[in-house]
Amino acid sequence: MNPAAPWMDWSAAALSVRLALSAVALLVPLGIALAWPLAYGRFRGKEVLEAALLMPLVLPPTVLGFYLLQSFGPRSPLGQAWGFVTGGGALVFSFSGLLIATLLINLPFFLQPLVASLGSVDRRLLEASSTLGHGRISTYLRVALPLSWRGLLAGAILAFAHGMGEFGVVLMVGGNLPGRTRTLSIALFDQVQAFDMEAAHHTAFALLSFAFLVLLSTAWLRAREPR
Amino acid sequence: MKLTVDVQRQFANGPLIQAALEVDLDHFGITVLFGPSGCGKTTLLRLISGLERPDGGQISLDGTAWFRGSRELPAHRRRVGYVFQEGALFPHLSVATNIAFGLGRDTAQSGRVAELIRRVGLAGLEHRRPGELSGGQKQRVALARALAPKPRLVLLDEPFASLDRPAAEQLRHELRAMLKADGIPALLVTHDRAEALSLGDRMLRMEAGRIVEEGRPEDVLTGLAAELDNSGTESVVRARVVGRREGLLCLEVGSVLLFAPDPGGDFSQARLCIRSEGVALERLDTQPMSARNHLSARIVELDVRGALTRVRLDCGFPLESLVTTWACRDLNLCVGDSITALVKATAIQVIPVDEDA
Repeated sequence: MNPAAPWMDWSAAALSVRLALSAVALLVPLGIALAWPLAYGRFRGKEVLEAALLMPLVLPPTVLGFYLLQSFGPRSPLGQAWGFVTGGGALVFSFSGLLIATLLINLPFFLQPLVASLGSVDRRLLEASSTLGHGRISTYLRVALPLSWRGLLAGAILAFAHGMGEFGVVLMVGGNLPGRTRTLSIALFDQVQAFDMEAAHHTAFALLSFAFLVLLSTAWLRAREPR
Repeated sequence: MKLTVDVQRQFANGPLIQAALEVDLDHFGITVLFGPSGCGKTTLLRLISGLERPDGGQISLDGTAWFRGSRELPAHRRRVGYVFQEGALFPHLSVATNIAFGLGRDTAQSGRVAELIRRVGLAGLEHRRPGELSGGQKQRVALARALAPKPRLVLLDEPFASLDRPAAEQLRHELRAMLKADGIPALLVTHDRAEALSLGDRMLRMEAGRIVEEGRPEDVLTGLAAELDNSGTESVVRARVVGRREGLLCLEVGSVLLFAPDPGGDFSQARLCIRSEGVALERLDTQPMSARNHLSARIVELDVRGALTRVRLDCGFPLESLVTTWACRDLNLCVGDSITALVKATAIQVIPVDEDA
């Protein structure tokens, strides 16, 4: 329709990539810490923790977005604390808020393959490590985790891909500010609303190809997981 | 130092394990934990190492509790080495890093790793991954890894069970020297008599979760059924090789000479397993001392069991004969009688033993 328009909304694409990458960078250490109790812990309330962490998988993203919006508001304790720490920064309609939301919603995508890999590590290897003088943390970091690198990588890829395309939470928490909170999936929504079907096709096709490549690579990783 | 164990553990589908034992940690020695599969040997090792928690009882080292009530010293603080049935090597680490795993970050220990690699005969394979090793090589790495941090005690859970016969025998012959170099006492689980007799200094016999007998391997195994489905028993004695000829060994047991098939290999000490049904009894007035394997004996005990009778003999060493009760009556055997025992050479199994065992 508009011959001068770029092939795609590149600033939205850049924001999506930046958001997804930052989320994964924070997810890896957080997920590694949370995966241990889920894979090996035996404690009261483990099911509760599991259910809470997996909730974003089934919860409508708008529901999570709504609660985050409530707790991020400038008058909420969290919003005030954030403002105090960052010197007036806001969580709502900002990249920081978007990042926290993306982190929470992607946690189960990262955790599931990692916990599954950790669970399939031969128990005797962990026992051997403990008879060689290594406590739980050392055994986790030196034996269990290196042997679960495929699960860790698969989880990171899934979380990255899902972070690229998240719509509901992003819209609720971030709104639609070009260059600040407008990600690719929101740009697509905008393009369709504006009947700019050519741009919409480009955006949709880019997201589709990306998602397919990601799933292909994780399937490839899983197929090579030694039993 | 003395490790004292007196523990109970019950699994849903297993026997009640209720075992008490002591292990002297100051002197080198191999204690064999012997018994049929499923009698609780492995569980007992796991309880001692801290991999499994007892339901009750206590484990202590010279009065320091490793387990008592709800207090428990975790496995990684016990300094007890463990060699698993199938090695359980870390597949993502090389031979050298597997062996160094228990040494911590102390790089000054690299000499220790090199020494162990040499001792277990793996020089040149330092950088291989476990997946590139044979079964026997894997067990050597597992042993070196367990010994590297110089544990107080090393527990071996049927370390040869996953190996083919030649590899198992080869490693069996080297195991003692490997353990002895550091003087680390060992507790070895096995259900294999030859393994127990070839390696053990002391034997604990386990049955249905309990330790039922303790002593020298030859004493514990004498009179014990050779196989579970067989009424025949064996007499086990220590012997010294005094000659070799035409595939036969001439062995000295006390002051008596016996001939038996040579299993091959270079050794001068052995334990002999003599099957009771291979020991016949005869009344000979004149003792033909030249005849092979004819022993003068005195009857110590007659144990009539239906059609068969076990005759316990003293011929300079304890020996058992299994004869029909009819033959017993025909020969008019009585306790205290002097008699001649004929030992068939093929009824003797020779198990080589290290010099100092």
